[in-house]
Amino acid sequence: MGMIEFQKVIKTYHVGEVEIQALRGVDFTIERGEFVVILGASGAGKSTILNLLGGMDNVTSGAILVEGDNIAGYNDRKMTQFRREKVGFVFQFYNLISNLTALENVEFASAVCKHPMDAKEVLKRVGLDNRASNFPTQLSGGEQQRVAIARAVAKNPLLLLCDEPTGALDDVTGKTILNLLDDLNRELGKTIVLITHNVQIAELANKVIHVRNGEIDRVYLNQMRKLVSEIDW
Amino acid sequence: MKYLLKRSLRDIKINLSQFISIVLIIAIGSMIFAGLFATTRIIRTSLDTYYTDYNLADRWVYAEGLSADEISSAQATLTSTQLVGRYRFQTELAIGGKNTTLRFLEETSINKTKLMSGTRPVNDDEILIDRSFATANKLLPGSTIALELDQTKFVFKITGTIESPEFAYKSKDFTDAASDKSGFGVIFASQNMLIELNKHSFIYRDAKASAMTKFNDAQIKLDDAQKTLDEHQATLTSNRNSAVAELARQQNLLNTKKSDYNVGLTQFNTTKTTVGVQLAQLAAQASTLAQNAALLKTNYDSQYAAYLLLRPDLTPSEQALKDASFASMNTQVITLQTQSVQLNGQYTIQKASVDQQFAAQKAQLDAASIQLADGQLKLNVAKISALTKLDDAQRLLNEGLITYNENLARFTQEKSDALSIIESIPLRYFEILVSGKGSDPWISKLEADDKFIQKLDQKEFPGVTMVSNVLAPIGVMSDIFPMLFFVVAAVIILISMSKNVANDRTQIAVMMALGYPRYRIMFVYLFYGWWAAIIGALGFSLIGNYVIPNTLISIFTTRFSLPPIKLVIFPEYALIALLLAVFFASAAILIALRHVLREIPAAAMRPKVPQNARNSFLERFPKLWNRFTYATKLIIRNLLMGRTKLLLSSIGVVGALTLLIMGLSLRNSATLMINNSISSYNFQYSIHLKSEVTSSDTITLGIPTSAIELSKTLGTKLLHTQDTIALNLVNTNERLLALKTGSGKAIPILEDTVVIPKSMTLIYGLKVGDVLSLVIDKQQIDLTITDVNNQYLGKNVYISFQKAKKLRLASATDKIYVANTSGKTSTQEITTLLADTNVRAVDTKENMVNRSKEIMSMLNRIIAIIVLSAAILAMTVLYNLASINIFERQRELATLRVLGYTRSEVQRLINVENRVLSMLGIIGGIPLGILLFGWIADMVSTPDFMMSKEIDIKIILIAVGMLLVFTELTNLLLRRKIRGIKFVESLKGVE
Repeated sequence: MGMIEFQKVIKTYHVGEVEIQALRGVDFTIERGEFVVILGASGAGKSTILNLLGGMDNVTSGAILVEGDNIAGYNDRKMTQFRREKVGFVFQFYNLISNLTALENVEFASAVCKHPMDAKEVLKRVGLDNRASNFPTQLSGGEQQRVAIARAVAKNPLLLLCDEPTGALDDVTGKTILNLLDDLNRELGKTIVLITHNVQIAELANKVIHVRNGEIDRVYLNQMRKLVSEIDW
Repeated sequence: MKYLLKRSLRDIKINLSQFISIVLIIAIGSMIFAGLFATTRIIRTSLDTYYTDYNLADRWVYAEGLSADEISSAQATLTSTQLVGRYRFQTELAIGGKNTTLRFLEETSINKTKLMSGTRPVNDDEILIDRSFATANKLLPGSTIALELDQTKFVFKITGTIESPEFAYKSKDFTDAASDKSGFGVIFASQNMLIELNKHSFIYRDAKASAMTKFNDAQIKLDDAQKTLDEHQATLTSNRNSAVAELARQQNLLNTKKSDYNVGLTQFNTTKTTVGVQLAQLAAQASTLAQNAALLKTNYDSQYAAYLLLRPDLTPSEQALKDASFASMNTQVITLQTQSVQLNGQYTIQKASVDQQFAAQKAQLDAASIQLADGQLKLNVAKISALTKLDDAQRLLNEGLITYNENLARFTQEKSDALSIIESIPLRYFEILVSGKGSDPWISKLEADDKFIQKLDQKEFPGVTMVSNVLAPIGVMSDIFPMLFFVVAAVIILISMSKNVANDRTQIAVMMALGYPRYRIMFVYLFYGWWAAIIGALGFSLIGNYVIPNTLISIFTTRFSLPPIKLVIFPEYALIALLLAVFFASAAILIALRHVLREIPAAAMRPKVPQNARNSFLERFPKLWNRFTYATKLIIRNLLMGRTKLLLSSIGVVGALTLLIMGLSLRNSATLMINNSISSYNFQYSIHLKSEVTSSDTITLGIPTSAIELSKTLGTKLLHTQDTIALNLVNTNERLLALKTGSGKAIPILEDTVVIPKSMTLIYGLKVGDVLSLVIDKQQIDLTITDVNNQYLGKNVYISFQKAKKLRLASATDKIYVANTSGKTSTQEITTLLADTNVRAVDTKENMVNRSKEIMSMLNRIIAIIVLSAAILAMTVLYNLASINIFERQRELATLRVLGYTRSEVQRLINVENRVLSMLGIIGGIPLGILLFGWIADMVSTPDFMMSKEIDIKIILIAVGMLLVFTELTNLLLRRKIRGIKFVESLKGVE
């Protein structure tokens, strides 16, 4: 049994009178320490998977087991608890709190966790110890994303969920970010789930889950994970 | 244009709650604007019409009783001014056990009455009665009022009820701040009846009694003078008789002495004569003897000579014989001669002795004679002097008698004249109504003739001043409140439009790129504001024009006695409200659009550069800053980043707190005014006795009492301003009125205590130690102020009865205050008291408090409106700003939720921010509220209705508490907004 299991997960949205089936019975498993890339075109359902996995949304049916607990049945309080303790998020557009400095953003997030890592250490780990007192608007996109990653990691989560983390960055900066994630996975053993439409990034993963039209198209394991420096887009 | 309209309507639909709140604020502003302006205008217009139609006097003049002729003569000198003398009579009557004051007036061409029900009187015993008094005392047309004045009974039949512009505000006295509809009745009767009633007037009775007392005193003095004159006459006569008798006795004594003298003189003369005869005999004997001796000698000599010749011829013997014969003859001659000498010697000795004796006796007699003459002279002088003095005294006495008689005649004439003047008092006019502005010369003449007492111009008249007093706060509110709401509406529009414009930035850029002129884009947003203005201002100003005047006029008419006031709708106010709302909304929208419309389309299409976060000044103090939680740091930085928003939201909160402090303080001041004057009294009953007393010791009532104190109020004038001051006489060490200082400390009434109210310190700048000069019955009394009590209603000065006696003021009274043992009033006790033959009327403290609280009714409603407005203002501003804040920070809040922050933790952030905003508003609102309250208190205050400007800290705390409650209510409403954040959607898109 994997650390995370999606079992026949269906997610339906209602937009006015139109019903949109975002996920149509998704099943997959993620093991502890894996670097998983969920790949798919725009509207394929990958963000829905991430939202459900991150406890940001509820399933219409099916089960999501995280370490054996079905989070699909969680109420709002438990779901918040789950997000607080188990999940670290990295978004495409960073979503840093603009009125807190880099260090404060990291500390602020870890303040609500039971076993946070040292914020300064983590910030140092992402190479921003010298920008700790800068506000997000004073940082470049890459730096902001690194702060976002530090914020996610500092919580010492079970799972790091990254939604198109390089989507808003140029190649070079994107690679830096991917390097960082790769390092976190390799060195700290963090389980990372990254969604992207970029096929090249899938080559960094242990496991790649292809999503199409709300269904799992295919899941495969990379026998040889490439290094960031080895990929290009 | 169609598209633009559609677009604006869609915007409204998207942000419906925000649109509704803007409409609501504009609506409240417009309602208040139209409502208050309409109220003021309706009341003023209807009163002006009422006063004009019923010819309200331009001036009331009070004089020392003018005859109809005097008024006619004065009228002849005035061209455009009409003078009308009016009889008036005032008395007290217990109706239903309650003391009421009835003022009888005659119907005149100035201050005409409006018949509200029934018919006008025909007979002298028929009367009209004012409607409010009739209603309050259930006196319907057809019922009767019975009066007993000096044992004369009067029964009046009520034929109808009236309203009079003169009594639109029913205060007994021009300076009486409180209207009294049930305790003060105005009655219109015929002139004949007024003249008849005036024979029982205090002026007439007092003048007569005072004159009679003076006449009696004068008569007693005259009688005394007569008696004294008589006594003096008697004394004078007695003295004259005694003097005459004494003089006669003295004369008799003198006469006796004179008679004795005469006897002595006669005896002396007789003796003298006798002795003279004897002496003469002796002298004759001696002379005869001498003659004989001489003859003998001669004979002898001749014979001897012849002898000698013959001798020689004779013998010796013959000789010798002859010689011897001659010798013997010689011897005989010598003997005879010796005898003659001896006899002559005897005579000489005797004569000398007698002469000496007679001379001595004569000298004695002469001395006695002189004494007698002197005595007679002195007696004559004394007699003349005494009689002259007596005559003088008699003359003076006679003159005194003449003067007395003349005075008596004059007194009798003057008494007769004075009595005839007094008898004319009921026919004299003490009140003259003036229509027109030209009465000053006549008043100057009255003053010169010392007949002028007082005048009151229409602008000082309670019906005018009290209306102004009531309308002043409405006027102030109509000036301030609508503007406040329009400004707040503009603030909310500005903030929400800024948000909309920021959201629509790309769309605006696209429209510009498509070639839409900027003014058309502007109209999309202007329409949004205009819709709000049209719905809020047009519709609600008309509602306000209907609802607010309706409410306020109904409250207004409870304080005033007026014919029904018609509600008028003024469309122009709706239009002005609309224009104001459109102006504020347009201004706010144009400010919101000013940046984006200046940009070129390409620049506008790019996302707006995010605002830089900045360090707060608190971060300069790391020890302090590091103690803050991240949530606190976040809140501080958020607030600092949105300084404009902070300022704008503060306007609303400051406005709301200002309104609350002002409203609550006004109410507090009014309550304080009443509490200090009536509620703090320690008596249960205020009783009017049938006869006056000078001591409470003799009063026995049929109820168990713990204290009875006398009370008397004397009408006086302040020397320098001629303002009416009520001089209250109270018992020393009184405890039933319980006068207190501003700090609540009891003021002990000692013999020389002089207490003035706080209001007089504010109006006249008086203080403890100053001399208060009052005039009472043309007599000046100077009182040294010893204490100031915390009273703002009326101008009541308190002194002790003892002090009044020292100042020779009338101190007998028929009014007493009674504290019972239970400390509570009961109907049983009132019944017992009313059954007492000495008791004329009974009033209770409860009734007095209730009547005073009528003053509060209008204020309470206005304050309710203020508090409601403040609540809506505070909540709308906080809700809107927080909504916009939440909307703008959706991503941040969603991030927090994703990071594991619970809803309540996120909610707390918003709540705390709102609380901080409120607290900042409170900091600004407290001083502003205090200032505004002070200003309005000044506007509302009159010399007899002073509003204390003292701010009670409790009021500030209550206002702050209420604002915090509004804040928490807003926070509760915002919970839905926070719950509604969909963080999945919120986290998408470009930051």
